[in-house]
Amino acid sequence: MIVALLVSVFAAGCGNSSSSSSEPTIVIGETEPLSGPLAVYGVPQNNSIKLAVKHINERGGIDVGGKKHRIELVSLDDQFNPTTALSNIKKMVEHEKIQFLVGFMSGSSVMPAFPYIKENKLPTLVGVAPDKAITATNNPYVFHVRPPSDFTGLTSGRFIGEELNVKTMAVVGTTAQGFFKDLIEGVQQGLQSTGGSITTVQGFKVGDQDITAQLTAAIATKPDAIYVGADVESAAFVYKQAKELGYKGRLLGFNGGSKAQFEKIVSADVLEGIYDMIPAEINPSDHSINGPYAQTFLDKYKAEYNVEAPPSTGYGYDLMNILAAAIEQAGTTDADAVVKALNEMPVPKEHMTMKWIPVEGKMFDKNNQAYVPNASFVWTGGDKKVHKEMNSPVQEYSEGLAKIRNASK
Amino acid sequence: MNELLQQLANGLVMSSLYLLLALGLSLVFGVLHIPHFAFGSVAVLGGYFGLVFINRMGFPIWISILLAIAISTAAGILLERLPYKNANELPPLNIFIISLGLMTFLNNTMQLIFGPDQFQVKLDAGGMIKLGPVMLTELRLILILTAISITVATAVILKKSKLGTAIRAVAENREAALLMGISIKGISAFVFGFASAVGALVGILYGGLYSLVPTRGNDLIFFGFAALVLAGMGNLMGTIISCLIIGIFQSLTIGYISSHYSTVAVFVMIILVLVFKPMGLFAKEVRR
Repeated sequence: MIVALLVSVFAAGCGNSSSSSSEPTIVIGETEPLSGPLAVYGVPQNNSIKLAVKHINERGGIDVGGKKHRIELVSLDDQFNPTTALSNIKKMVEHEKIQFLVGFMSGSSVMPAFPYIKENKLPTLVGVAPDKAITATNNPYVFHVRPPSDFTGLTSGRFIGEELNVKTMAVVGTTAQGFFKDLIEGVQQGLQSTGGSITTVQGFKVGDQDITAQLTAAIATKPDAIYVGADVESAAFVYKQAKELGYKGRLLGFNGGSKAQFEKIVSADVLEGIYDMIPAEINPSDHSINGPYAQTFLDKYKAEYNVEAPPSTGYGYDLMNILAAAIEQAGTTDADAVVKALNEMPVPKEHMTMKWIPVEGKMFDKNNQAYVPNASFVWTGGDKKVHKEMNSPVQEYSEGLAKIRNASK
Repeated sequence: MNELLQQLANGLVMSSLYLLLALGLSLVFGVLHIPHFAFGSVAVLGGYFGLVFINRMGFPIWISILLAIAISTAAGILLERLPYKNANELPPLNIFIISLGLMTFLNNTMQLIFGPDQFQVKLDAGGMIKLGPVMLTELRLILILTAISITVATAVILKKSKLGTAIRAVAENREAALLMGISIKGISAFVFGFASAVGALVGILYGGLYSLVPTRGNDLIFFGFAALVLAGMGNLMGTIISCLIIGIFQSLTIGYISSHYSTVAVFVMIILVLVFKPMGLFAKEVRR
């Protein structure tokens, strides 16, 4: 643990040293699970943020009131531990003098830092974390690029009932994670609207690898489908073990895993026919649901890291470019001015890998929440293919979120 | 009824893993009085050796397993000779700290070499076996049979062979064993080497059944020690029963109550047992 932290700090230090000391700099902090159970998302998000920083610096940096500033990125490992995440943030603010904060895999990592972020006026852009609570809680300095899980859940529930003809469904997932409750509420509401129902909800912890007991209980309810709400590694175990237990029904999921991520744990044949219903993340084989910069990003990511970019990496790359555009629009690095720019800015025209849906012409809605369309993917012949873009009721969702956010004031 | 039988089978798989771990821990603790907290990490390291030979170098599975076991055995002997060298003369707290330090060192070394990602060892034993209403994969059945075979073999060696007699002699009274001409160093090295070999097998089977991640040993060791404490030290049959109780209890708690309470339920059960039977369920009576 200590060695990993030292390596992480050392690596971050090496990154910082690459910028010239004579040029003005903007220091941005990042905390992610770079080790531990959610490193499967944390490392790719860190990679995508580092790549965006590299590209912005190669373009000359961020134009702040006519003067170019280079970005210095400080990345620390929080091991998916909220206490470590908060300690990382304090360390970066007090010792590294960071001016902006990015990253995060979960609401449980960023939300304990909300009072500190507000007190220190630290504009924060949250990436892959799917928790609704991030923007349902009023903090003017926190912006969330990934759509909350229930935004996708509601649409997925309807899709499962109407398009896949599922009437009864068991749910298996990491129920203790904040996003899960929202996701399942959305899925349940959507499925019920089509006359379907959920037979059981079985939970496990992030990092658990033997899910057979939960699956045995789920299969005993004789569902048409099993819906898996969990990270890619956990989902891989669920899919594999469900088939090992002889389950023949449909397997559905919410995980956004790539072929390379799944194949570390399961063979491609296990995935055949499984649907993944998620926000429209980057898909290597079909960019119809992605932003104009998707293919360039995929090529550059592969050239830099020698692996295919996982679907969720678009959040990190775009998030950094959105922040850079907001600072340029503000013409200053003053926190309140940048927050104002983030609130007012349109979707940036350049370097966007994802297909952002503007709300009233702006990148973020009045809750500081951004949106991309929902989509269904299906595993076919060893590849995850785009099945279709699903209904994405942004305006309706945004209004509902605003009511909860206002109540939290 | 079918669900219950499947849950019992699921529990039996976990029990088998715990049994192999408890066996290694029990031998090391019995002979050297070392709470070998790094044993879970040693097992995972053995699994990574298997992963390198099978997945990355493409060696045949059986040769890879034998190579991984051989390297792990050597590594185990090295541990006994270096960090645990003077364990017998050190206060228990010092041994405890050495053991924890070793665990952290191994975990971080594996993290640096293999990274934080999970990897499955490709054992090519995913075929399905249907036993009445119970479904098991070949690999799960292999794990259960391996646990039974190694436990029986260990029991036979300990009870029937000269080596076993020497191990038991060292465990019961080191000074007397030394006076009888038994090589304490040799026995210690054998025990550590044997335990590490069993650990490697656990790591490879675990990596094939689930996946390897550098810190996984921490969770495994938790339940291995729990089984030992529940049984009481020095009782092989008791250890087997304790592992069965823990694995099946966990499976039934997850299946019929909630996964959130499964670990808590196991430890509440162990604490309750220890309140009424402080030396464990099957500990031999000790006369003072």
